[in-house]
Amino acid sequence: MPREQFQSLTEPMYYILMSLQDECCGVDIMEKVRGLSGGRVQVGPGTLYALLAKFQEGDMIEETRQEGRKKWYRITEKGNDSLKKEYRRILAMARDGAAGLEGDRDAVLEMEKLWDFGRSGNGVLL
Amino acid sequence: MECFFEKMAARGWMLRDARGSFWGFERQTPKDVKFSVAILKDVSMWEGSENEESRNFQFYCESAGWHFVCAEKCRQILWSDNRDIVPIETDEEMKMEAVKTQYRKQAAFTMFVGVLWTLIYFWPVLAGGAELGGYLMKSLLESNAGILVLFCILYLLLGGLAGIVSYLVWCQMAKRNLSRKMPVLYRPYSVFMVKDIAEKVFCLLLVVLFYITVVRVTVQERDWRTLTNLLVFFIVFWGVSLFSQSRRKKGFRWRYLAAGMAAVMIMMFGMYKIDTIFDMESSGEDTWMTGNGPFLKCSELFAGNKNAEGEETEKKEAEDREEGRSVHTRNASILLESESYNTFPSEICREDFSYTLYKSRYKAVLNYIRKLSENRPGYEEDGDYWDGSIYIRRYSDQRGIPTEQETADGAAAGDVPAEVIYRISVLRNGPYILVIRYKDQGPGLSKEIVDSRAADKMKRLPGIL
Repeated sequence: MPREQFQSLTEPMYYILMSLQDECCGVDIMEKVRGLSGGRVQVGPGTLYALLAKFQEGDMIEETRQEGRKKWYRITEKGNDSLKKEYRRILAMARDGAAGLEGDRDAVLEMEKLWDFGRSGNGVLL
Repeated sequence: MECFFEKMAARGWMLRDARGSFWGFERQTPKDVKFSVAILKDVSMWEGSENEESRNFQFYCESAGWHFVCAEKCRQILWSDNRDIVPIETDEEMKMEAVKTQYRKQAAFTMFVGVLWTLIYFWPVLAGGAELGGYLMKSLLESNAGILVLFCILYLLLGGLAGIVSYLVWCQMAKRNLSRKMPVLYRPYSVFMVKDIAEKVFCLLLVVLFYITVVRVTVQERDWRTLTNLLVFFIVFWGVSLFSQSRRKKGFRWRYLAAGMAAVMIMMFGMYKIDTIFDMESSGEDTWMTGNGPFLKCSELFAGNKNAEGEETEKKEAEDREEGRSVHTRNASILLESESYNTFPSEICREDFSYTLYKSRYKAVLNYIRKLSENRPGYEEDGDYWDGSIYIRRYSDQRGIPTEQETADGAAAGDVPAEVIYRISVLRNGPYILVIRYKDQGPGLSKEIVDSRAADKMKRLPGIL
């Protein structure tokens, strides 16, 4: 069975969608992604350009306004659902990892709390 | 490519423009810069460099601190003076997809052009088989322009094959790098330099070959008609080239192709009519052997042949036939020269007597011609021997024998079917091969005398061992 597009998101995809929770233009997205990931994830302009086109094609984001060549985007309902799904998937993996790999009861409880309240590490409410 | 541009920038040569494999640099102070070549997945090869997608992409990159240099279709070249800048492509899988898509299209297109060129010239082989293919190859070797065409066909075919192979190898290497979480490279620097040098060497060889095979020979022979044709050709070629270069950024349009084809057709018409327009005559036929007409005539071979009763045969008829209708052509190239002669008797086929004399300083070419001349379907070997230093091999060709149906039809009409056999002798020595073909006239014609006379004639050629 062929894999559905955006069934799972890569790190750059995940952070780009997260940064488009608020309306944002292309260039600022790169800065926002760096900020959200604490400098860990960097998206090049070429990759960003290609991903934005892909997201638009898949109705994950929509263009809100344009000034010359500068375009602003925002995440759509569909994009939000994919983002939440990915977040829960990562949480599930982290929870299983905490139980299986770390063996630390406190870490497991922390993960359970996160899972129950649905909050990300940066306090973004999903 | 990126490495090459960075090295050039460090030496003080900054990239200004790129057209295919030809780069334009401008002198600047040496800089330690970072270059990046990006491939856009969704730009077609028919689009000009000034397309919407390229412009949007350039805007994104320039906003991120990159400087745009030039673009050619899907390929974008940018630079930055900050070596720690975030790379343009940070997702290796997406980068690989884009490069793979464009690389595949380009490799397929190059192969298609190579195969198309070959088919355009050799398509009769599909109908006529290997024999016709051999004839077409021979005709390419016999003229300088043919050698030039052969060189171009070989380059396009080899280039197409090399493109397909390198694409497949690159795909495997890229997949392997991806699985090992390593960057996907376009091409190693060494491979890039080899390809770059190979393409430039080919262009240089093409120019040199063109000068040697066409221009120099034409000037030496004072063939003004051909020189004028060349001039017309180059004017139209450069005109179409300059026009297409000026439209490069706009991309392909069907009207440009139509304009180009119209220019080519006008050129071909002009070249065809150049004799009447400028009152020019084509260069006269001449032999490079004796300068006084064909190397060999019927009357030289058949005259004085005696029948069983000791009477001479063929003498007058041969002379009449030769003087009546005959054609003599000459081909000369840097690889192979040939002189051909045919008689056209009125009541029989055109192949009553013919010869072709080949000369080449290249053993491989002579061997090829020898194989073509001897390995014809329907030829039966009829012995071989040495006449001094000339090696003679005889064949008979019985394709002239009428079929059963024709015999039956002839018998019904009361005719006696005639057995038609042709004799072929291939004489070889040094740089020459002489192939003579004539209709067997029966017992009155001595094959040994005919071959012996041909051998005597051949011994007078310069360079015979």
